[in-house]
Amino acid sequence: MPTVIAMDCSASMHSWSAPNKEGNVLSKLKLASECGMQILEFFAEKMKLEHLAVLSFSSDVEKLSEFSRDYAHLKLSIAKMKVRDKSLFSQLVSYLNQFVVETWGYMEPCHIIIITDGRLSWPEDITIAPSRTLFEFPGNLHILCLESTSSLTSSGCMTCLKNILEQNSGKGSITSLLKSRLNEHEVISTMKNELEKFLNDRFKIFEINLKCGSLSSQVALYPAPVADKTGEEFDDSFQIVGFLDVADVGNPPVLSRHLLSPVADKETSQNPDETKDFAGSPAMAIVLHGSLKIENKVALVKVSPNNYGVIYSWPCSKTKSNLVLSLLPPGAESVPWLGNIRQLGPSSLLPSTGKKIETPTFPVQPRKGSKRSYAQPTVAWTRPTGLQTDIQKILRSAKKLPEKSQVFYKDLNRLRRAALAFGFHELLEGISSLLERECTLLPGTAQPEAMLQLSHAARELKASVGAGYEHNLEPLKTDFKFNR
Amino acid sequence: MSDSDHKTVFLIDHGPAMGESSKQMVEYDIATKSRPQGVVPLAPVAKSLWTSSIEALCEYCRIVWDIFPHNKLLRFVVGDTSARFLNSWNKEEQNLNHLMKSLSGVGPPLKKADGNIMVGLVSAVGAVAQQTSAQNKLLSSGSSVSNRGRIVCITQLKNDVHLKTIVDCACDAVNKHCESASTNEGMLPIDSLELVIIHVKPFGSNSAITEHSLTPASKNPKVLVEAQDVKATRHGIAIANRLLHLVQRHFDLSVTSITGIPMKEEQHANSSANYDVLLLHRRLPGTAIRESEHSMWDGELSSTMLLKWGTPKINYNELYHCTGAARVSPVDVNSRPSLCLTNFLLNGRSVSLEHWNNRPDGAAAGSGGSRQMTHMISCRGSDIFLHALGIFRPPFEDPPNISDGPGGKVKDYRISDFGEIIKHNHLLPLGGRVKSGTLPIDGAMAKLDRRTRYWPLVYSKSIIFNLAKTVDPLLEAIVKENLTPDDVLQCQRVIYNLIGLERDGAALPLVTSAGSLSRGINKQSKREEQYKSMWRELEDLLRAHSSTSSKHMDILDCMLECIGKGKSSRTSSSVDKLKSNVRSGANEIYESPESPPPLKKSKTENESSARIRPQKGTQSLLSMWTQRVENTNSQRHVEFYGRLASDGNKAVLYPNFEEDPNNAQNTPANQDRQTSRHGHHRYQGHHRSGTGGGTREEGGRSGRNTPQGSKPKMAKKTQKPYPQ
Repeated sequence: MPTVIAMDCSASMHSWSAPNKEGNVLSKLKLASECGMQILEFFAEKMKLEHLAVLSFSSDVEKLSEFSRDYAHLKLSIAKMKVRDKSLFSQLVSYLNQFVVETWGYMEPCHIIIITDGRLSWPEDITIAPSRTLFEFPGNLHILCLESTSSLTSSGCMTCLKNILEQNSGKGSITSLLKSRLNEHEVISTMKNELEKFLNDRFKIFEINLKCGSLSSQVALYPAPVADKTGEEFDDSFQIVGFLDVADVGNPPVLSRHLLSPVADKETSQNPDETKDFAGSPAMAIVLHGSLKIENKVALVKVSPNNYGVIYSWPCSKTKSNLVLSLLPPGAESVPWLGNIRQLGPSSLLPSTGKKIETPTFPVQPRKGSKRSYAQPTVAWTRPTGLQTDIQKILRSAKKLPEKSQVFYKDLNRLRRAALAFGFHELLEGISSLLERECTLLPGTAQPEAMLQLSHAARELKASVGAGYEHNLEPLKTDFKFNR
Repeated sequence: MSDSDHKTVFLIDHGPAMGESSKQMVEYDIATKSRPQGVVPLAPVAKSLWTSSIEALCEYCRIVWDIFPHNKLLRFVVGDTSARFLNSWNKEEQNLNHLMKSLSGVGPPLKKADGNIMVGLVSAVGAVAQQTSAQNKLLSSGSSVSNRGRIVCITQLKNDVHLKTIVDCACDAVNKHCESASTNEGMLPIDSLELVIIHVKPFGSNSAITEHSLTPASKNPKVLVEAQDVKATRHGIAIANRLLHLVQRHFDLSVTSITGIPMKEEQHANSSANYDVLLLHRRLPGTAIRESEHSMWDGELSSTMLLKWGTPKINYNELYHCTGAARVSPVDVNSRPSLCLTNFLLNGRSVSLEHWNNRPDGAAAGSGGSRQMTHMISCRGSDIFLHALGIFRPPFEDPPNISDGPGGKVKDYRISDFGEIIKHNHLLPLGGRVKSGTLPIDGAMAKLDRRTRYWPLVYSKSIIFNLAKTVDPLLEAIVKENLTPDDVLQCQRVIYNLIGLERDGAALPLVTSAGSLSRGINKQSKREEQYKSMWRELEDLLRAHSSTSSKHMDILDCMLECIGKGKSSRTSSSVDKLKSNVRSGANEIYESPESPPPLKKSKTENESSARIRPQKGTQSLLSMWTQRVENTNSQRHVEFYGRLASDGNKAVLYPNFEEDPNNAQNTPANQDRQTSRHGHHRYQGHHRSGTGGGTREEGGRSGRNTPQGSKPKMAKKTQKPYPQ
């Protein structure tokens, strides 16, 4: 995941560390830039896909480098760092909230590595609303202190740092890179060792065995996926369940997406001959990618007992494409139109009872009787137009009686039921008189039945107030011919 | 299930005060063009406070049920002298139809009834204490549930003292229920309760209460109280709007305006104008949290996001990165623009939308460069969803080419064959249609496992997958979970066909992985070597599948017998023992299906097959002559099949001797005579080639399909093992 290195360049960083025999001294700023270089080298060697940015902060934040993979450029930018005034941590936080979100949005987890002497000022009175965290994006805050743990504790900085970490819901770490009473040589070597340990600990390539039935392929995920909120761990291997059409999957909501790249299997790579020729030994992930691309399908994959993802071919340019895994929100029912993922299976599982069963299709329909308000006739009279539109509709069909008597009575019944539910009995009286008046306004060319139906409806509407919700006003029977 | 919005109870005052007129008239007889001039419109009617409140309440519920079809439950208590529940926590009773029906049974408040809302309030608290099925499920799975809820009370209060009595009553009820919850089945103690009291009053009324936002009640800190005072102005819209603001806050909803929807004008069908539709939906992840505290406001909802209508031309076969999808509900469901939009979407169209920032200088965000599609609205299974699309760069932007990694240089991947696996394992929503106890997803994984048990990734690593036409029926059948007798027969035919091919010395497709082939070896031994690895591969395949069922095992047995393996140790007395041996062996091998078979076995195979195989290498005149004679003889003579399939040219007679009680009566001498005359009959039965005629034809057909040149001869030979 993207990483920001933020260097504290407040005046306190200018302070001397242990002076050596020649009287030369190392400033903490120098140590900090050494750390920065080491971090960059670590990433350049082990995590080439990582985007890094370098900032320096004091009372103001200076952007030394944008997010980039150009390590030479990043190294140069560290050299540009200068000592300034005092550090204001809140300033850095608000800067990061803008800087990171601008590039990666609110969803992308990001590492923030702060290199400091531990003296971060964080006004006690600034508290963040309980529903929010320090950062507006999912941020892991790693504070690297150029100070020994004991001096951090004695100076009270530790309490402040812990407080900051707590504001970030505890996501992150505090590492002290130095030990007390060190001479110059020891300072550098201790720092380097501690930093190495920290980096190896926190920044690992996420490798997993991707299984498709009995076939499997070792793949690396970039960026490393983060376990869901419930803390459910990932399975030892990601297992493909089956395949779906892109159109059926239908742009599901996704928590995060990750590049899948095949890596040499650890077991086979023990053999030195095979590691040399790893590009020549076939990998299942490549077959999978090729077929998904050609068939235009996605593979549904189970990543933990309760979490699923989809693997698909992702075009990264017009000619190039790669295998990408998108993690679905937690739970087996996270995509409503796929239904319960545990209920997905190949058609061969359907019982073959001789009778022709309708093959189920996507999207999964909501259960019967739970249609949404916009998908069925719904009464909403909070606005006068709502009621007026319904009445106009009835009047329109009233003018075309008896041809429209079906529609007329249907709408009238709907209105009647709504008025009963809302306890709006006055309206029924009103509509009744409205229909009576319509009777008188009928043109001379109108069919006599229109008048009969209108007065019948007007009468019935008034009389049936107590008849209950289910009572239906029926058209007046005017056809007395016997049906054979 | 532990959220405070999981359970909401509405307490609606049915006392005489609610029956009061809101003193605001509704015109229902509006003038239209078609009405003749001079007609006096009918007098408008006034809604009662009750009607206004119920209409507003129905809108609140409509939105909740539209957006949260599961797990956000609403209940309704009508309180006058008694308390009446209109529904339960049951899912079947969570819809507008059910609510409207039960409401009609209540009717408007009676003018002279003596009302007291306290009884209703106590019942409402009791409803919050009641377990819902979702909570019950969680509890029975061993998780802890924090039982929170909300009561929205719509009533008319006298003054602040009246308000305090109601709050106190609720506090007492919560305490009482907490005490009794432990002893009552299906009840849970209430961990926290939000009590929202909405004081509704008619236009012109001066009775007022002090409004305040959520604060803990002094008597019981578990109860948070909020008081709202709303006048039923403008036909009661004030109450409706107040409830809209409440539903937005209670369920953390966003208000989004879809703007610039082109719509044909009702009057002038040729021109079209642009309309806006206001939608409510759950806040989409990936959007900034914006505080909007307008819940004490009676004005219309205002949008927090403007999305401009883009194009309805969306490629369904393209997968967009979508950071969130939320069900929507139109604020005004029956307005013409809303209906137009929802019907358009319900017909299966999707529309791309573009985030529109209304800047003060009038310039829109996307005006400068190309338009960026930020959102999409579409219908999935009769629900309309608003999708937020990922607009930021992916963290793995510009990755290295997949062909630069491991396996990238390999060229002959079986990509189209894998496509077949994909098609066979296409998932469908089987929900409830599968009777057996296993979950469909497990069945899917088992099927995928069977299809891939033996599956070389590249063409050059396999002979049998290159022998498409000959071996296909076997490859198709062997991956099935249950084999029909026909399937078994098919598989056996394939094996016999292969034997036929080998006997004829038909060339096999060249496979590079048989790297053991060195130069200098003559054609003959090369071919032998090829057949050897082919049989080895077939054995691996069959062994990998032999654990599926006993019929799969039979096929492996058949193949082993045909190539003369496993027969050597098989005596008439130890058939079963051997079978179990093979089975356990197969299980071991199943662990690693691609491991080569033990060396010893292939040696025996080599010896046996070498003797049966027609010699075709160096031919002398004599050998050519004898071969010709043999050929003519073979028209009449049928080689004893038992010998063909045996090891070391010796056939074991009556392998199932002990198994068959009928045969046991026969004397050895009898049997011998019978066998020498009709030996093939015995074996015919053994190999289940009961439909001999069909078999012969089949064999001939597949023989013709092989690339080998000696068609007629081969066809004849394949017939031979199955005489009539």
